[in-house]
Amino acid sequence: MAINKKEVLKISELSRLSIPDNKIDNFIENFSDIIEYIDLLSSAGVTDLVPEDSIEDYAIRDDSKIEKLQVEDVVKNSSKVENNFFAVTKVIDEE
Amino acid sequence: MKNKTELFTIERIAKGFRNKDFKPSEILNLFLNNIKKNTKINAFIEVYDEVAMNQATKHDSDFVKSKELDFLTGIPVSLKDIFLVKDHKCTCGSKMLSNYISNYDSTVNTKLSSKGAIIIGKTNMDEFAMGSSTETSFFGPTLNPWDTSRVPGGSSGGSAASVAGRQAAASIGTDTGGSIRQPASFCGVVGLKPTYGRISRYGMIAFASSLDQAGPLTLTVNDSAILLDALSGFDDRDSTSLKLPSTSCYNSLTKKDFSPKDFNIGIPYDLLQEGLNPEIEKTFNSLIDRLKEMGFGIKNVSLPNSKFSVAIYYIIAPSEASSNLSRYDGIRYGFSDKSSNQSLEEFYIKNRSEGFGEEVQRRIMLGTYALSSGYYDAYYLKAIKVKKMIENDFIAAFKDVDCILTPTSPELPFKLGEKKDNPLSMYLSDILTIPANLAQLPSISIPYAISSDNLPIGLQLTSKKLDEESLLKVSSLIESDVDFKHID
Repeated sequence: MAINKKEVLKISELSRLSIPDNKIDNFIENFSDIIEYIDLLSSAGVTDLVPEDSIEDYAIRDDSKIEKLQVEDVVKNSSKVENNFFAVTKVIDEE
Repeated sequence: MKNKTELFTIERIAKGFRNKDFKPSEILNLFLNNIKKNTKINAFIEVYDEVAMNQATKHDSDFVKSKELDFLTGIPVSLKDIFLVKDHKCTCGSKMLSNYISNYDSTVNTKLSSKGAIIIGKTNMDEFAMGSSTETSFFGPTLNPWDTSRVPGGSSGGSAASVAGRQAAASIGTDTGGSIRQPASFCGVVGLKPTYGRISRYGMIAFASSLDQAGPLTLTVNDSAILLDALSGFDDRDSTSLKLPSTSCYNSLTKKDFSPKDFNIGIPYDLLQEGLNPEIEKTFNSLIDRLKEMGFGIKNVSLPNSKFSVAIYYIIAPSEASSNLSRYDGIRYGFSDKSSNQSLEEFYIKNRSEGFGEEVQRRIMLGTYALSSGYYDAYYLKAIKVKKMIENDFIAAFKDVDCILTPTSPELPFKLGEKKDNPLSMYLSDILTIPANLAQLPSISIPYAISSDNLPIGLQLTSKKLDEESLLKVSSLIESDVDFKHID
């Protein structure tokens, strides 16, 4: 296996995901197969060439006033709203 | 107009409106009836029947008044459910967004609507565009109209099936690693991924931002040119939109002042050495012989680093996805768990674990892994470097040829469920389409043959950056010669 259970659990924690116990072994097996495949890249000889015609001319927009969404519209997809603010569980304990 | 075998292309419909052969509402009804008659295909997540019919009726009177109207007026087009349409749901094929209502319009929708096109509905897709079979959708799989036991390809499988199944005159999909071209090939339609940055990504839900590109799925190459011309052009709401005017490929195609002798086509044999389905290999070799007879110059080209494409793609795309999808926390929008007494951390984890399907979770984790401390140099940084080498291989190849030709997919449409438990084998099905995304090149799939099992086979042409015109000219010449028989 290219990756062990401890590492997979660490990555899932960083990703804010949890894999059910009954699926973890299968997940590790598939994940290992994929990592073994992408390790193919280690055999590529790398040069530091920059492409000759790379499209670098992407827009850097000037600061300007743009149409804004209404607050009521912005919060309408939220499950919990109070006074037009997104409401979340308290994260700071009261002493 | 009830003749089912007649091919209602954008060109044919637009001409029919002007000749008063039929009205926009009649054409819309024809497509809506096809959707109702064949719901089994599951090409749509939502059908806009009422809104669409109101628009069509309005266009009926516009044509009676013989106003000067845009070519797309009254044409029913389906949109992949990844493009925002204000006040309508946009699910991205996910439970996470199953109730999400768009606050604003994508540029793709704004442009289509301003030209009078009628959005007939939103098409099914792999969840967050992650897949090659449209089986990962929260709304169930789409079936291939050619053989309903098989997948339509993905991730724009609903778009491809809607066009092949005559449920829309055309569709707009997105292509990050082949998601327009591979389903086009599997469903026997034309699918175009333009140069990266040609069509605005504003209001298109992000998967891998440096690779995502919108494009049309159509019955013909001319229709594809019509939609490219309508959708391309600079948009200051997308920071990677190219500062270029809209294309005018359709005019160039209709002049018909070009022939096979004007073009050289390259074949990258080093990429085609293994893994091709024998029937695809055989028809592809016959195709090359035929192209020589037609007068095209055929040359061997080398793309030595393209063999690393899939590995690079499955580092870069998940890395970008892990960052793009971090916004789904269930607080501002998206699936939100109702249980009480949980910390904010637990709430995030619950929402994301229940809202995202297995494949999306796998890719978020792959990206998190590739970007994590200790692995970044070996994976992401190396992938970016080899990606540039692939771009350079293409630049060298295009010194000798106008287009590069391969089959679109190494395999025929596979059976539903066949690859579901083996994600790596699903990933490898995109081996021929991914290089164009990595090099930001325009690339098209057009149908050219039918297998012994009556399944369509697509060829893929790729041209240099911004040269959609040559790409479409070569495609049009091949299309005329092939005379592909679409399904009824």
